[in-house]
Formats: sequence, C-alpha cells, structure tokens
Amino acid sequence: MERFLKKPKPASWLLALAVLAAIILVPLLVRADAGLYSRAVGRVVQVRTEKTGVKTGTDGTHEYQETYYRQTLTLRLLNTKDEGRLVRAVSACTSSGVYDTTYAKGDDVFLDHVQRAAGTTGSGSAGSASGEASASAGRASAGAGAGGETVALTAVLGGTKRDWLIAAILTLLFGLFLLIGRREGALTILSLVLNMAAFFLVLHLYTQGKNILLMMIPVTVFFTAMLLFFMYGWNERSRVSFRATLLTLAGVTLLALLVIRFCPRIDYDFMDYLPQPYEQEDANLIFLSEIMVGCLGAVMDVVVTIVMTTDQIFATQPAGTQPDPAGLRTSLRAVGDDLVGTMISLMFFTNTAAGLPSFLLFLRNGIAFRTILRYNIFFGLARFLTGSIGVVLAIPLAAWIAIRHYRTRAGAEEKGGLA
Amino acid sequence: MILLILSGILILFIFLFCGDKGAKSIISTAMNALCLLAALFAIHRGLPVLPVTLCLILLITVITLFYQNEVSPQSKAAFLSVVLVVLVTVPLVLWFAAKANSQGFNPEEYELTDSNGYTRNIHLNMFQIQVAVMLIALTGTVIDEAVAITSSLAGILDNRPDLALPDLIASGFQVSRAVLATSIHTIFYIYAAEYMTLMIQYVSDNSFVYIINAQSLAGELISVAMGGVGCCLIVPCATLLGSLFLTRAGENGR
Repeated sequence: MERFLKKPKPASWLLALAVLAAIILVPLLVRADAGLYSRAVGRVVQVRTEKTGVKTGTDGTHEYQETYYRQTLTLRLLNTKDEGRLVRAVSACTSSGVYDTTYAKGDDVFLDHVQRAAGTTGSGSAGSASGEASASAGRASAGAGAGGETVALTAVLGGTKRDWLIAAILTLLFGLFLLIGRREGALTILSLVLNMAAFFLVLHLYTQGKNILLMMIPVTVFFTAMLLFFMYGWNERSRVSFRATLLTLAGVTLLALLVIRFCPRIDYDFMDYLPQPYEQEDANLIFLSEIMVGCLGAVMDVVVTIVMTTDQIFATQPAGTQPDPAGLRTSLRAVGDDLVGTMISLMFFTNTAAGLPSFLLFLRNGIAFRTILRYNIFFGLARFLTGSIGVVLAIPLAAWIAIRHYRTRAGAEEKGGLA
Repeated sequence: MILLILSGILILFIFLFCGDKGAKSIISTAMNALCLLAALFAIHRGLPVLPVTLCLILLITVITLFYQNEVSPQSKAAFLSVVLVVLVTVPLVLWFAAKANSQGFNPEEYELTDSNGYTRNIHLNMFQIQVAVMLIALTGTVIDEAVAITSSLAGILDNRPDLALPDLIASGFQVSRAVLATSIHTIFYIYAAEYMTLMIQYVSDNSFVYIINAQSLAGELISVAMGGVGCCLIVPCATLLGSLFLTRAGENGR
C-alpha cells in the first residue's frame, strides 16, 4: 500500500501521460474537422462592434436599458472551395444576450449563403444581412481587412461550431474518471455510455408512439441490476440492495402518480424543452418517468450504505446470536441520518440551478414570484421534492428489507448448525 | 398545490424516519433556499453576478457543512476542499462557457417574444448568469461528495486509530474511488431526468450534426460535465486534506 503511494507504477505514469495527451489532442483534432462538413465554416479573425441603439424594457416598477450592437465580423473560411479566403458577415447582438450571441475572435462559426460581395444583394432570408455585409465589406477592402487582404465574400452567420468543445469536455471528464477512478472510473464510463444508449433507444421508441413510462420501468430495473452487480459484485448485499432500490423507486413513483392524479391538472406549458404542442396525459407520463429516473442514483446510494451496514453488524455478531433489534434500528437510522442532509442539498441545487436564468428573466419581466414558482421552476422543485422523498424513504425500506433478509438467514444458519 | 403536498410528505417522512440530523436538514434546506432567493433578488436588483454567486456558494457550503454536519476536523477538511475545487473550476467554467457561446435561451426552449407581451430587454448579462448556474450546481454535488469522503476517512480511523498518515491516505483513496462512482451516477440520473424532454426533441427531429453543434447541448452538457469534473477533483483534495486534518486532530487528542 505504502510502496504504491510513494513509487507509482510506471503504468500509472503512462496512463496519466496518455490522458493528458488525449485532453490536449482530441479537441484540437475535432476543431480541425471543418472539412467533414458540407456547410461552410469560418474562423473569426477580426471583430468590429458598434452600438446601434438602446431599447428599454420594464417590469412595471423599474426600467432596464438594453444596449443593442452590430458586429461586423471578418472570418477566414476553413472549408469549401473558397478555403483560406476572407468573408465578411454582420450580426446583431445585445448586452444581455438573452436570445443572441456576441462573437469573439477565434470563434468557429457556420456560414450560409457565402457569395461574392461585388454582386447584388442576396435574396430571401439572406436579404438584409448580406446587403449590409456587402456594404461594409466594400469599405473594408480599402485596407482595413486583416493583414491587408481584400475581403471579397459575404455570408450569413449560422451559429457557433461547438463540436470540438463537446469533444473537449467529454475527453476531460472521461480522462479524469480514468486517472482518479481507475477501475471504477472505467466501469463508470462504460455504464454512462450504456445508460445514454438505452435512454436514446427508449426515447426513440417513444417518438414512435410507445408509452414512455412503461418502457422506462424495465430500463430502470435493468440499470439498477447492472450497476449494483458491476460495482459491488454478484453477492448477497447486491441482491438485497437491488430489491430495496426497486421497492423505494416503486414507492416514490406511485406516490407521485397519486399526487398528480388527485391534484388539479399540471400546466405543462412552461416545462423546459417539452416539445410543443403536447398532450396532458403524455406530459404526465414524461414527468413521472423523470421523477423515477431522477431519484434512482441517490436512492441506490442510500440503500447500498444501509445494506452494507446491516451486513457488517450481522457479520460481527458472535455466532448463534441475533443483534438487539432496537439497537440495530437506531444505528441504521443514524447511518441514514448522516446521508440525508447533504443528499437533500445536492438534490436541491442540481434540480433548481438550471431554472435560474428563466427565473431572472421572468423577474425582470415583472412577473410575480408566486407565478414563477407555479409555472416556471415548478418542475425542478417537484423533482427536488420527489427525489428527496426517495432518499428519505430509502432508509426505512432498505433497513426493513435488509433486517428481514439477514435475520431469516441467521435463523436458518442457526437451525442448520443445530441439526 | 402539488409542491405544498410534496413538501408536506417530505417533512412528514423526515420526522418519521430520520433523527435529529434529518430534522436539521429541513432547516438547512430552508436556509439554503432562502440564500438562493436572496442571491437571485440581489442579482435582479442589479448587484454584480459573479461576486454574488461566490458569496452564495460560500454561504451554502458553510450552512451545509457546519450547521448540518457540525464543526469537526472532517467538516473543516471538507470545507477547505470544496473551496479549493470551486476556485480551480472557476477559470475552467469561464473558459468553456466563453468558447461555447451558449448563454441565454436556445431554440429548443420556450421563447419569449414581444408579441406575447414579454420583453427580452432585461439588461442582465446572460453569460455571467450561465456561469453562476454551473457553479451553483457544481457546489451542491461537490459538498455531498466531500462529506462522504471525509466521513468514511473518519470511519477508517475509528476502526484503526493507530493508522499512520500515508496508510490512511492509501486506504482513503480506495474508498474515495467508490464514492466517486456513486456520486457520478447520482448526478447522472438527476440530469438525465432533467433533460429527458430535451433528449426527446433531439431524438425526434434533429440530425447528429445539428446536435453536436447545438447551443442547448453545449450549454447543458458543459454544466453537467463540470459537475463531473468537480466530483473527480474533490477526490484527491478531500482524501489528502481529510487524512491530514484527522490524523492531526488524533495526535492532539492523544
């Protein structure tokens, strides 16, 4: 153990080097993949930002000054037949950036309607934008262009190219998993990839018209089994934990179902990302699936800890005796107690944080706090509450199942020993 | 209405199934929620976003660690490692968020337009708010993991009080790795639930090329992955600091 700490094996140095190299190389490689796209991609080499005006928004009591800008971008084309040439494009943006983007030097941007600036303005959707672009391009070609090159093309911006960032963050994350988690880290990566694949399969079938909740249930059961047996091995503890996790999940989902059934109908208009238009029944099922999946990880965590403790208490008992039931229950409750607090705060912040931008947007629109609670961050809060209920409910259920299991086993062993 | 019923059930369950610490967790959650609200209103009133967020994070950590889990060598080590990890991830978060151009609202989300009576002229820097969102979610996760690691360290030391520092660190790392795997799965399922509707949209009508460049994917994935990165970074921090604090406290106690 000690030797391992002081002199890391050469293998771990190699792993660290490989991970480091991957973290640096993968994003660079993906960043250079513009050639794979049929759409034109340009890298911003120069930005000129001018203020175009100020608009005022109000929430009823306060007024907010929003500054509007126009950005004139010079980009170098990274693909297509005009690769290497400069393109001029314009974009409008605001100081807040609620629905728009402020570009910076070095951004890779998709470009549509790449065409000669000298020609007449483009038609249709390209209309005004490329019209303005060609006007400024004409001025700039007199010598203001980057490096004195002339800018002969104009284009319409079609959004930032972000694939290399996705690659970067995933490489960083998985690299850290491997480096810090070693074997468990590798298993975690495998499990996450399998999970995502299963989710996408279920959601794909859902878009074909299947019932989402009915499909999510077997997937959840399967993943509970897979995770427990992968992480903790095929043993008694995992089997007991498996039963307790499923029981708790069933309990939480049923509870949520009852609450949804017997309460006034939920208004799903403001559910984040819900495809519109939706059907009430359908949205209910999606929401229930979310509730079930959302507490899976946390419930499993609590259950495994409780079962492990029960296992240890029974294992350290002198042979032929049963632990004192009251004492057992107290110590299990203490173990659960230790977990609950931080777990609930984790649930709270992970579920509500994503709703903050819209919360602020609505506040600045003068919408009452109660209304925002009821519509906007309702779903985050509801998932926080059901998740926390799952965490708390897991304590007695896991304790009950574990105690019952180990007591019957101890009883059976006793009889076996006597015979 | 539903929220009230669910809160009622939660509080009832906590009183039924948990002890004092559970009851404390109701209070600390309420305090955390109040701090979050206070921070939101402070930002709404026009205070600078990032300083407010950092104060909020500090407050949350103090409440969850020192009120919920008492002042002890474990919670002190957990506090230090949380602060350290947040400080390390701030530049990382800023860099990723700046490169992603993913602030504000994306085409997959409900859109506010002037025609349905809303204004988007709100004079709030959405980029900074996105960074704040990432940091707050990260803090919640990291606190949980730091506590799990430092308390298992304390557990190890309870069983073998004469363990030397290097041995404690070595066996601490074994435990922390298991904690890392569990924490990652915990947040993975929370986020899978949160973004289920977004995934439905992706599956139903977008091409792969669109998805990997989408504003929504970049924004949400970076925020989720930052949580994961935080979880990884807290492992060495909490294990080393926890071992150090605990053995030192043990020596002083002797």
